[in-house]
Amino acid sequence: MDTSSPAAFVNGGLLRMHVGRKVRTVIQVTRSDAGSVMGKSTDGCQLVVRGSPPAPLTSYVEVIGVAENESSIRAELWTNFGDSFDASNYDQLCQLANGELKHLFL
Amino acid sequence: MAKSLSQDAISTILANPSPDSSSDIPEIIVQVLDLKLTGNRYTFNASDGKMKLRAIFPSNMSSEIITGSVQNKGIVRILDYTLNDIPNKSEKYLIVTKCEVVSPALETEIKAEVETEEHDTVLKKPKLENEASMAPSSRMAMTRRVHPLVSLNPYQGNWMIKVRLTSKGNMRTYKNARGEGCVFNVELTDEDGTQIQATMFNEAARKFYEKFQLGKVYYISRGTLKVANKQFKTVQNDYEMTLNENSVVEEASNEETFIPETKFNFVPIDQLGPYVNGRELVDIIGVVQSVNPVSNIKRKIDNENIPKRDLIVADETKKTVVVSLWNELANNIGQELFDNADKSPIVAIKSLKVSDFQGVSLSTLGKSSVMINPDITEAKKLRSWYDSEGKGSSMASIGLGLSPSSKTGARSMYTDRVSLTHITSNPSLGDEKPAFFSIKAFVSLIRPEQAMWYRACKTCNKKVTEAVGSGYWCEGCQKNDEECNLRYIMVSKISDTRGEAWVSAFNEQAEKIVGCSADELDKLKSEQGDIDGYQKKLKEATWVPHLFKVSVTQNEYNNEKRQRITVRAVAPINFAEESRFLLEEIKKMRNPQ
Repeated sequence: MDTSSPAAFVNGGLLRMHVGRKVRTVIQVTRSDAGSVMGKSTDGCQLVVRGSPPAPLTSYVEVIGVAENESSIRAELWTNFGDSFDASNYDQLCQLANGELKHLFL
Repeated sequence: MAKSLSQDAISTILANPSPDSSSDIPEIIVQVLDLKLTGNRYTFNASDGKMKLRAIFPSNMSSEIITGSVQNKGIVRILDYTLNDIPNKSEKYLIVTKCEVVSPALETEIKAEVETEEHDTVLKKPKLENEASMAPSSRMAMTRRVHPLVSLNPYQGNWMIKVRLTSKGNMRTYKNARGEGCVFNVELTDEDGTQIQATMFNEAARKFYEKFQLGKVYYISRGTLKVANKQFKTVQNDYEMTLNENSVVEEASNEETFIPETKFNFVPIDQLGPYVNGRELVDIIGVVQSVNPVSNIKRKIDNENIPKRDLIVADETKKTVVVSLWNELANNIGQELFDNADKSPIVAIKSLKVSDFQGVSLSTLGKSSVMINPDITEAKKLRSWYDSEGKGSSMASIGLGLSPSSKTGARSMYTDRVSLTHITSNPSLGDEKPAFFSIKAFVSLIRPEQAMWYRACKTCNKKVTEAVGSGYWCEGCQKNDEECNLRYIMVSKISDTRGEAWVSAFNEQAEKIVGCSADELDKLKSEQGDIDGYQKKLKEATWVPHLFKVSVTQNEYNNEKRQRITVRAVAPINFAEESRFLLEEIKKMRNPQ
């Protein structure tokens, strides 16, 4: 994986700002197949994450990869985040990280 | 030989309120009566034997009064003065600018030969039976003497006071072992500014409730005094008064009504957190969002049904809070609010208790007062904010951000949250009573060589001494025991993002920090082997973050005051809650208002 640039924290709505670039996000898994996982982002959008998810998969998973388009990510790194997770906190983090405080993150 | 007072001296003064120079003044010799300290100057009643005038000595005379040159019932010659009006009254006030002592205290008050009865417009004169017990008063006067509140005490009941009703509580009903009853209290303030609380029960309550009106002046006698219950004190007075059916309350008809403006000290809704479950009462002002119908709550103590009405109020912080109106307030003003809720009126409420029900909630007490659409600047500001933007914006309940979590005490880990430097940089914290704070910090150092525990009695936890022979002796339980417990008394260093501090922890808290009991740690210490279990255990406890509740006090040590921080509670960090807290803090930093 190219580690030269940091991955931007995104939720569903912010993904479109980083198409083609490295992103990271946490989704709540709704469906998982062999080559992809469908999940709900912390702001309620449906996202598709392509790649090889770990087995077993917990309810919440963090993915780091490249944003393919507004609603899909090609993931290179998957991390199980367990079954309880505060989506609202994460969502506020995404907003701070893309807003006024962007310079602290990217 | 008795010295004589200048005849009609008072009339002379009244006729010439501002003499041009001292040479203009004829000889004015008066007797000093009712000399007392008011604030930082001495006041008295100047008497010429016929009339009296309220007067005040210049502050440069205070030393002469203290040393006894000028005495009560003594005689002075007034060399220069000014006469002032007392605002809102028809009386005058003599300001003595220069005077000299003529004679020390006489035995009695001098009265002119012709006895003139002063006519006070309103009252029957009370019988002043036991003059000797009242000091300082004249034995010959037949006039009603009004006593300053500050002179009242429980041991002497023949007094009359003249006071203004500066606060009126709501009528409350109660039920106890002796039956049912009703009660209300008032605050009385006299001319000197002294205040006292007066309570009336049952018959007396019914008798005086309508009579007592806010802002009016009353002559009151035949009340009883007792030492005030410090827990419920609302005014500065060692005593509190009770009036019964035999007490006498008469309105002073020649006094103007002066309703002191309700002084509010509003707390924005989003700053209510630190007040939760505290003793301090708060005032709030907000826009009514909704009002519930009245419900009846059965009070557990006496099975009494109490009316209650909840309403939701919002303010410019975009937070809402539930306010519970109890008793009279639920029915009277509560009904008014219910009927007008759709107009989103502004409501200002004074003296609310803050509890942790559903995070944060406010309740009225007997002394609470509610004003709808008050004519004050804060109300106007709120109205214009609400009409322009508040109406449409989304509001969140303040309780959600501060929701209680159960037994861990984690809830209180968010009230009074400070950083360590806030404590260490302020040496005067906790000098009168302990100050409590919550801290998020890492344990940064536990010195292994310290005496970390003491031998404790298995029954009472007090320190035991080695008994003669075998076993341990507990002085408190007065008995010997073969065994004892080890209990922590540990000092460690904690650090946070701003600073560090040394704290003491007792057994329960230290156990949470170290991760095992003192007995277990002692066992590790005495184990032989390659691995030093004791050192390892302490190392594992280091750089672990915790939420601490601490108390800060001041100790004297070798004549120096030192700050002592004691851990009162330890809780693990709940990351979701802590993140929520930090997000709030970030928001506050970005929108300082």
